[in-house]
Amino acid sequence: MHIHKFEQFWIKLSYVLIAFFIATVVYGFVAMDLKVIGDHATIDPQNLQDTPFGNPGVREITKNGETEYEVYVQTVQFSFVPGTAQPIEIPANHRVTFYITSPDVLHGFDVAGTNLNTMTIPGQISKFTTIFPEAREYGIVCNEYCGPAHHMMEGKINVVPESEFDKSNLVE
Amino acid sequence: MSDELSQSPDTAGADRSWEERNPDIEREITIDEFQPKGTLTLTLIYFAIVVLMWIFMYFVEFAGNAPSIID
Repeated sequence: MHIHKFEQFWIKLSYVLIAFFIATVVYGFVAMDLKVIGDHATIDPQNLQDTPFGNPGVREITKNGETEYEVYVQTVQFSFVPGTAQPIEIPANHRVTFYITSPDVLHGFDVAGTNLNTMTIPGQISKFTTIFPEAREYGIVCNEYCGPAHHMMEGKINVVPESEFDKSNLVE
Repeated sequence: MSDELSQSPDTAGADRSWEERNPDIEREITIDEFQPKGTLTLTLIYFAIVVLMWIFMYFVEFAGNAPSIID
């Protein structure tokens, strides 16, 4: 079949475009070290009280000589515990690892306006680590339909300067 | 509107070839002599727009949207 040379050219161009898209994504994950949430662990959603999720909140840990924070969050119909009734308070410029699970149905945990976003699945622990570079308030929204009040399900993360961080709210 | 104008030239004389219906055509060219440079230019402009928008979306809007997942 004879194909006009211009047509050959833009068919090749479309392959170049696909290769370029794939190359940028590979570059992002290899050279720029972008991360997505992967498998972490499973948990029995009926028995969260015997796990750190039974006492959810912010914990302080020391890892490799650095102070880091762990945040255990339960997503329930229709709130983040903690997050909705009281904001999750964490200091800026520290590594923070979130562990999130759900005792009832599928929820989402989306820190609005950032790349922090995960599903929370009954029986699965969603884990991700981040550093909040500036002190400000972030909104959390549920972005998986979870029931009739799904649209009301929201919370807050309050990132404060390290000097203003109140350690009396930490859980053991 | 006259009947002649309301009919499209393609249905008016379906039994005659396109060349016969258009006797004022002066020159026939082969497919490779046909060079749609305007179409090529438009294609390249669209290509550049798609590439630039992708770079903006991926590297600025997505990768630059800190805080991100680091581990």
